Amino acid sequence: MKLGYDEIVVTTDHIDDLLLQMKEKHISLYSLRKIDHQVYRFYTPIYQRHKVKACHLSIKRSIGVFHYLLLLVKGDYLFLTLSFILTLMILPSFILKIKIDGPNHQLNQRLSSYLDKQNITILKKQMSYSQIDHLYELIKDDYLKEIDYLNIYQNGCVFHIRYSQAITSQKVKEKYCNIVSKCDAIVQSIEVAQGNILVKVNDYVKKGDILISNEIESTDGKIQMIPTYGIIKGYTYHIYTSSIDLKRLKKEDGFSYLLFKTRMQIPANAKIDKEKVLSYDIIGKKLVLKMYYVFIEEISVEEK
Amino acid sequence: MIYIQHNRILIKYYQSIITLEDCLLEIKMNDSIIKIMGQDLQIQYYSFDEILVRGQLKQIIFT
Repeated sequence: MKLGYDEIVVTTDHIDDLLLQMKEKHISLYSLRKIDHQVYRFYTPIYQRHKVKACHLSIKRSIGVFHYLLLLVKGDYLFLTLSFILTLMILPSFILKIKIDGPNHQLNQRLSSYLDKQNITILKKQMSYSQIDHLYELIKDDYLKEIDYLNIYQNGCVFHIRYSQAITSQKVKEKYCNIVSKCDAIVQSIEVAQGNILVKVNDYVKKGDILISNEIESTDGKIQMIPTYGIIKGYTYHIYTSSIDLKRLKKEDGFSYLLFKTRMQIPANAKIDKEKVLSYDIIGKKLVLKMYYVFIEEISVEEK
Repeated sequence: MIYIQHNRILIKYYQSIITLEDCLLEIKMNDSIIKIMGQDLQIQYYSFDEILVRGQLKQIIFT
């Protein structure tokens, strides 16, 4: 037992008698030595404390892990220790968080209030598998038209509801307008789900040209209106100019600043395909940087 | 039964300790007395049937 010891200091002129007494009582001693005239110090294992006290020896101090464990279950700490252990044992059997994962925010809120009505709230007891099955059936019945896939489970103290919205419940508004180019560009990619595509990759289009048409000619020569939906990306060409007063920056320092300033003007959704410096000069009393860019960006917009 | 190793001496089946000093330890055995002389002598372990003494051992006398 090397987990804890009691330190004992005795003053006696008959250490031999004391040791004999210890021997008879089967008490083990460690590091026994004389520290002063008639003063001896030794350590005894904590589990033999009752035998040591029977010899009328007083413990000077205690050391070791076992000593600190004993402290926890004694005196003022007892209440705290018991509370801690009880908390550890009791808390996992309660719901501490309810998490609803789903794409529809309004449905999430309705499900949350539905759970309230079913008395499933935070700090309620966790549900059994049969209760979860019952709740699953209830929700499936009540939200039949809105939910396709539903999963209810408990992970630790968290109560989870995951669902995917029913496809029939998703209202998709079909649009019948033409999709046109918002600027001059060369078509880079075409991703069209609905509509009559009028352009090909690498075609040059001007601003306002129809890219996806809402009209299609049937075999009998009649023109029909069809919905349109798609994304067409294209290479677009831009020139940006930035300038700064010569008093503020020298020419050799100004380039990086102006380049950064120019890049700040680039739209967030544009991807830079090419970047070229057209000129970097002093014009008047200003440093002027002129840049040429080729972006890849979405060029399709609905016709107004 | 006595085991001696470097700066330790283990004595088994002793009867009692007669003297315990820094430089002298006298242990009564069944039919003799063991006198251990040295420096910084301490009883590292003391139990019902054995004693482990540690320190700078200089002389062990059996009387």
